[in-house]
Amino acid sequence: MTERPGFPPEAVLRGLSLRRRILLALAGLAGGCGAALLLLLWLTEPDPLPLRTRVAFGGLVAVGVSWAAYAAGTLARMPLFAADRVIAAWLALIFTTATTAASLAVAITRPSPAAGAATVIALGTVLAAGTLLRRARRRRAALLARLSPD
Amino acid sequence: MVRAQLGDRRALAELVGHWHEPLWRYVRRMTPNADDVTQQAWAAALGSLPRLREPERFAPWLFTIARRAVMNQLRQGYGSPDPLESDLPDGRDPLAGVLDRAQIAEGLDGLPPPEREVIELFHLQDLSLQECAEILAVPVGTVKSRLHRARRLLRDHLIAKGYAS
Repeated sequence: MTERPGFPPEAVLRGLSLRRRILLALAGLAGGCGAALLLLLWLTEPDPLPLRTRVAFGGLVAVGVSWAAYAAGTLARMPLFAADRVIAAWLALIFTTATTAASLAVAITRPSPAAGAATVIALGTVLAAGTLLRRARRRRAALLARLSPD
Repeated sequence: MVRAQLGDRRALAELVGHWHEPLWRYVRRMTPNADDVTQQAWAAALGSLPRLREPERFAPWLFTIARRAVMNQLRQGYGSPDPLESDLPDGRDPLAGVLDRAQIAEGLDGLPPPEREVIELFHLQDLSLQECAEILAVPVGTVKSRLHRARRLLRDHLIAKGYAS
């Protein structure tokens, strides 16, 4: 059989660059956290917002959620290697911490059940990101140890 | 392998470069739509690579994934479940060590898929009986019997084509 593959091995790795995956993670985290904060601001507004503002808020939340869904869907189909996981977990920790700080500020300045609940949920995401980071670092360390057993 | 799992892109490129053709050849033996199926197999393999716990078992793991992609392709194509089931009694192998790779490759196209597949994995990909059994999801004894039958069919086929026995 003298036939050859119709595509080079490089084609297999096309689209899997670290830069692309980090940009996707950034876009997803920014979209998700941004949408969550906008929603929180909207829900804690003391007075009903005018229709145009509500439409604008709704549109921005939809854009943020779409970015988060797109990034999550695309990243789920891509390999996340040990180093990538550590980077992604750090990014998640930074973004969730910033979001928690922002929702805490909202909860303090506009105390309401919604703001309190949002802060608790945000704290939960910080814990989740911390757990993911610890796991990713442990996995990376295990692989590194395997690489140099001495 | 471990470097690739860590995220070293050069190691990953080397790994893919090393297995690209063997994997494609295996898929090509089983289906004419080799490029698409090989790409699907690579996508699935790379997606799961970070979670592979035993890097030293990469080859059988990769071929198992490729086989699954081939099976999906065949199912879509023919709507039949698994065309690779056939069990035959064990026996000695009169052809072992007689045929070279080129002759085997030439005669393979005339064999039924189960026999073609086992010859490809054992003789052309140099995988062990145990690894073949893992990939094909059958006991080692079944691999042996398939190999026995495959060699016999291959011999008949090659003799019919004019090779001396």
